[in-house]
Amino acid sequence: MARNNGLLFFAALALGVTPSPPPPADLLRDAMTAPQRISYVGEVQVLRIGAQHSDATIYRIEHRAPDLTRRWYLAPQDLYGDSIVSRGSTTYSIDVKRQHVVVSQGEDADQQIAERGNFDILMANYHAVYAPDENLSGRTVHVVLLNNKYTGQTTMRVQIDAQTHLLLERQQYATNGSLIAQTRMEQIRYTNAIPAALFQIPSGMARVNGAARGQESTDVAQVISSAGFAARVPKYLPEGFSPIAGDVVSIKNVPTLHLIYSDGIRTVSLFQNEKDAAVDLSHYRAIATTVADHPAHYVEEGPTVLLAWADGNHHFALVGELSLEELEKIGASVLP
Amino acid sequence: MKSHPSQEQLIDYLHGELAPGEDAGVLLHLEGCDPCRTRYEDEARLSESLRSFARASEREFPPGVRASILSAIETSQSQPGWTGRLAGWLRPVVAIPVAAAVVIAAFAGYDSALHSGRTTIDAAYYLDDHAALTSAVPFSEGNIVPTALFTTENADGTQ
Repeated sequence: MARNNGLLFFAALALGVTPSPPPPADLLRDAMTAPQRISYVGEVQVLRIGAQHSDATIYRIEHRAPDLTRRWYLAPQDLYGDSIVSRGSTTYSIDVKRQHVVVSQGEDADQQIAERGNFDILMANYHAVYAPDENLSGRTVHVVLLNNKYTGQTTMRVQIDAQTHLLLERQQYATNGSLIAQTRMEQIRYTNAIPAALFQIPSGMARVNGAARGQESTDVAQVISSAGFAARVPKYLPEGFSPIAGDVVSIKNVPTLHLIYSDGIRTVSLFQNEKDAAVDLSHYRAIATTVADHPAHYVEEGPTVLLAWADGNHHFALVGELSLEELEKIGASVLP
Repeated sequence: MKSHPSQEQLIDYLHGELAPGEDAGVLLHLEGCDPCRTRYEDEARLSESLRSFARASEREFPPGVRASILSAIETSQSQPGWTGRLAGWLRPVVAIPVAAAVVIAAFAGYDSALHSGRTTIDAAYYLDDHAALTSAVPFSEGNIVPTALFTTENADGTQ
């Protein structure tokens, strides 16, 4: 049956049939799951634009549905030749310069459930509306704008292949309307002829385990109660934000609670520990600021801002694609 | 290139210092000569190790250092005359090295505090974990480049 569907799909592609678009919410939902049924190769360009600096990443991508993906980095120069292979829930980061492979475990099944829940949050906070169709790299794309229900501003613009419903481009905007991130797929080619050997992990390289991650859960109250210390939560969040997940992980033997809040597009993470373990910002250009009169520092990685401060032995870090002012406001509400 | 490239040529090739014709000759040679390619890869690994070490060792003055020095200069230049003998100590020629010494001592103190045995958690971990957990948000970028590909720190915090 699946094979017949595949044949019909490629027959439709060959005939150049462009079906009329479904309601935008249905198209978005379909776009989320498109990679599970469509195989393709292409080149992805990612731009992340910050107030202080921006960065660009370009990688070749080969994806064999449902869950084999290889990303081969072309830029920046430091990453040239490195690659990431995802096989189901396991990700292999292949570092050719250091001749090792970092193995990380994900949680695909849970993630799919979480994605469905987060899609509902997205639809609760954003209006999805069509803009006129466009042409991207020779393919007709449906353009969907996601407008924030509270501010009326367009927060995201996505371009979805009219035939395959694969997401080909996304642009995210800050609250002031400036572009903060853009991901674009170019040279897209749909094919089922991607050899499995492409997703093999090279032998002869040392294998190391990736950073330990906690057991992520959408039951945030349970995660907080399992932290082992008196965790604090923000009393203020931007409109539409709610807790979506959390985990507790031991980093260098320091139990660290990670809570993540989202409005369906924008996200902010709150990390905290009560073991006097400060955030080491020495590899970054840290700038001094305050959080409710507490000395604090922040760093920027493209549009992502990390704000760190302490209250006694209780150390906090807020990370998100929000403005510094918003993060400081959230941070101030975390303090008792 | 018929003969094997010298070590110096390999190093210059690695750093893009050869003239175009010579560069092309070495490239062609490496494609067909396994022993030379092994030498080249050894050299590249060594070079990368040194670069990683340099990156890991690279430090910047904490925020406020430059401001402190400039502030010390301004203070020394605006001292009122009644300070008499004390003003001599605040002339730029004296004050600047003193201010710099104080600031460097403060920086050393900051640095040693960071490495005093007190546990610290690299900001990269938080940035990476944030990106990993946001991958469940619809249409998020997820982790474009996992930290594993650009940090020298292992999962357990060791180098």
